[in-house]
Amino acid sequence: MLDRRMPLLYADLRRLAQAYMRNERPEHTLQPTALVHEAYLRMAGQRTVDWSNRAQLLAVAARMMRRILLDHAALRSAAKRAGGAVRVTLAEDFGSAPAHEVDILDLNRALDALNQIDPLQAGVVELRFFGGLTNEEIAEVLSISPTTVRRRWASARLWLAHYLAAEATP
Amino acid sequence: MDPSWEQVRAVLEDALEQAPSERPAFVARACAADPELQREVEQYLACEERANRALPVSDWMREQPDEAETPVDACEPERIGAYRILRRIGEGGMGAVYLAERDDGEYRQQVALKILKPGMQSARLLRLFRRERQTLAKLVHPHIARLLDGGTAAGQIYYAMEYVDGVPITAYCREQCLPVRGRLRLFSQVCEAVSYAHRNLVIHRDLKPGNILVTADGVCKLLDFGLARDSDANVTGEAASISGGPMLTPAYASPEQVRGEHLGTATDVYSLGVLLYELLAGRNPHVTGKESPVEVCRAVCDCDPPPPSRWAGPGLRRQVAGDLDNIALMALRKEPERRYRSVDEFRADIERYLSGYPVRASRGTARYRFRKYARRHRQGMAISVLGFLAAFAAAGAIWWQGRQARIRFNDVRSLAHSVIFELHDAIQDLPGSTAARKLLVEQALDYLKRLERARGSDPQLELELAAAYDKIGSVQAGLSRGNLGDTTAALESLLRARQLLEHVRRGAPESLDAEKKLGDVNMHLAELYEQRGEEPQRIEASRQAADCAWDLARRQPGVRRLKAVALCRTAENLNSVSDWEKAVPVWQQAIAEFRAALEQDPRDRQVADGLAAAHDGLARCRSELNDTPGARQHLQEALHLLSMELDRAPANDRVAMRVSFELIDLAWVDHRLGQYNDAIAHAARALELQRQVAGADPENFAARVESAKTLVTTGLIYRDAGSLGQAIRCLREAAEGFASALPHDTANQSTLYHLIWSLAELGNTSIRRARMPGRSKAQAQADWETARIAFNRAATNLSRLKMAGKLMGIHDFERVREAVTAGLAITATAHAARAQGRPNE
Repeated sequence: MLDRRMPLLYADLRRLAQAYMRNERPEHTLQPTALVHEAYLRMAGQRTVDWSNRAQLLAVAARMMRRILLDHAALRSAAKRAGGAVRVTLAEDFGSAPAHEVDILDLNRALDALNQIDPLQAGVVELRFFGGLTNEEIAEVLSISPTTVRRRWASARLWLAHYLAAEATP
Repeated sequence: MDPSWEQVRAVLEDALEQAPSERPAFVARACAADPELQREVEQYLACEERANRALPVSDWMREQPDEAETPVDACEPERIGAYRILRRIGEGGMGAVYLAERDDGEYRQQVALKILKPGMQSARLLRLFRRERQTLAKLVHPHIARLLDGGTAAGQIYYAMEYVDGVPITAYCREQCLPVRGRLRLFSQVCEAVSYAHRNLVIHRDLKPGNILVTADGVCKLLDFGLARDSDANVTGEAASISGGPMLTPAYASPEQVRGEHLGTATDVYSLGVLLYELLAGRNPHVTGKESPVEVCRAVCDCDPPPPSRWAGPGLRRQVAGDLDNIALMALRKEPERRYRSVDEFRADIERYLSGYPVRASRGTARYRFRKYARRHRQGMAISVLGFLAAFAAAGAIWWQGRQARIRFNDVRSLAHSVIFELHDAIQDLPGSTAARKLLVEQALDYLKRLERARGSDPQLELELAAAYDKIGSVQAGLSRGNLGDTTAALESLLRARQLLEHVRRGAPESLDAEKKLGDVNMHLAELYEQRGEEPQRIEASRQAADCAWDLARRQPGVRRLKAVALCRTAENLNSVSDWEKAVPVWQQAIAEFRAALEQDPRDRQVADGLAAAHDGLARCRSELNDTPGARQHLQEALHLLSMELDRAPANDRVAMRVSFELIDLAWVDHRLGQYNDAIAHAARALELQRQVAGADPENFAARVESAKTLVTTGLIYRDAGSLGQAIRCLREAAEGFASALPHDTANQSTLYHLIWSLAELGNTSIRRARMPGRSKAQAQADWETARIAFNRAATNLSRLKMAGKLMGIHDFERVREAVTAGLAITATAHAARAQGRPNE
């Protein structure tokens, strides 16, 4: 069961990673495969995962992705602060215009703040942004209707943008 | 008062359902009575543009189908740039590959044209590609397929490479049935090319058979130099076809690559090591195709592959064992800094081997492996082991000197003998010595093979060799203490021992030694076949073991013990095929013979031991024949004999453990008779003994595991006696016991099996308690949660359980798998029901 489940999960993870990487900031040094491997290894170490439920698995995957990306982002900004040049190898030098303009660390802070006032809504954002889950999958994970998911996502976007704007202009 | 987010959100979400132009009017209407609310909502709506940049609406949607599902030949291009497409020749993770022809009037040239998939064409990739094209185009080498051209045409990135008409190197070697030396020469060409690229500061990062083609003239060509992206690195051809399953099998990736770390030239050294391994062994070091990707990742990062000679066919094995094993394993070391420092160095060792010089990789391997072992077992390296270390170092020194100075054959032989028997036996009871013994055994085995080759047929030497192979086989199989768990190698060793002994016996039928040894080897073989679940072979081997015992007994009629032993073996065989009725009289006869022998010499412990074992065997028959009181009687006889033995030698752990086993059997019998109090008392006494043994030697994990097993027994008896609380306590403690023993021997499938089993029983017992009448809602919920956690934990561990079917008649892997699956389903359903506010069931 679990063994047969794994390759499917792996394909899911890979898809999520690619979805994320398409939108990731350019200097991000994680590549999809590395991301997937890491998420995978971390998930395999989880003892409380309910492996029988795909939506649950994807939810855990989303949380893992978020943590991994945060770890790497934190590492990167630490490297910048320390003034050390980040070592660049052939693969990791991706130079092009940013695909979207949000710093992962800022977004994480905003998401934590949203979690304080509405955990369910923060959950929707985490699953969608970090997990790349569809509305239907999020609905399944959070036991709410897909319509509610769509509406919560729409308002959460504005809440987060508002929060980030307020943070940027104190 | 400020409106709450909930209020704002309600209006906001309704407003967002409207067309953008209608939103202001909508908000004004909705907030007619509350200007504060209107202001807030408008503030959020004003962030729309920023939100579009930060969190795009549609980007995250899965509008793009999975790449695997994209129809590949949706639109076959006819032309790209200056190239005319002739036909499609391949498909990779990054895109399709075509055979194309340059026909811009300048000249005609066939090329392999790779067109990247639309999904892969990010701007950064394009920029990267342009930058690297310069470097790559400069790589001109006879064994590298040259990058000729590249760019964008019709919005698609493409590049043109020298077209190589060849087959993957592994397939080539297979098809040509290339001998080892031929394979090595080919491999050397590959190294030459990679080394050239490294000198030009290009790392390949995706070396695998699919990227290394051999032409009909036997010339190697490396493809895709420097073009590997991680997203593509493991996707194409070979890995996927080896595993036959999921894409992205990191079969050729180095540990640092799997972990997503920075890559240097060492990663190519590693991948070349994998390639060499495959050329020698005919299979990947970590991938057989049965693993899930996460298992492969784990194996790549954590597991030391067995030497390639392990898998090589009989013709190749002799050539591969030794130096070539060492070379491949050196390249495959986990730590980049411990591999060959460069591909040149790697290649030099291959060349040294080809010219018959000693290779670098074989220098100090024993010391290297021992250091590794010592690192892993830092805590377990008690003072007692230091004694072993000194002895080992001394032996090693003599050994090496012996090799160099060509000490006389007989001296060397006695050294090998003493290494195997004296050193091995001296350390085998040391905690955590399994790895050291394995090392010792490997070295000794290597040595024995040399001895065997050096000397033709000498019966005395053959006897010694057989004894050595027998010992090694037992260690490999884990028949004695400490489980190396390599039953394939063990089988090879034991069969070799049997072959040698049969040869000696044919030459000297009168040899009692050969006969006795043959009996032992057959016994060990039977145990091994049992572990491997090969029933017909097991029966045959135990029959032969019994034959040998009978033969010995007939030839030495004066020794009564021998007849008793022979009877025991026959009875054991009948037990093992569940022929209980036939077994009973044989056991009875054995008991009578042992008793007579005991009268001859009342102090003969071996006889007392045998008598206890015979009572135990007969008890099993009685129990199976539903004669529970009869079983009880014989168990008590056995217990009595062993207890006397224990009184004589209270510090003897082995006897203490045997006493505890009889007590557990007694507990089961009393359990069956419904005498729960007696059953619990027996189990408690067994637990006490095992804890004494475990307490006396904190490193004795076997005793710790046994006491956890006893806790399971105790828990199940409590359960059936109706004390569910006590049962849950015992089962939980048992699970913790197994879990704490597991890290010390992760390969031990039996401990893992017991952990899963105890968790499943814990789950089931908790569910049972939750369903008890009179249980409050909160109590029942807590029980359900205990059960759910237990089953989830069991399921997580289940992925590590490799064995299938039944083992030793006790480990029923399928049953425990089913129990966990069912438990997961029940608890998950209950959990979901509770989450939705429905009561359980």
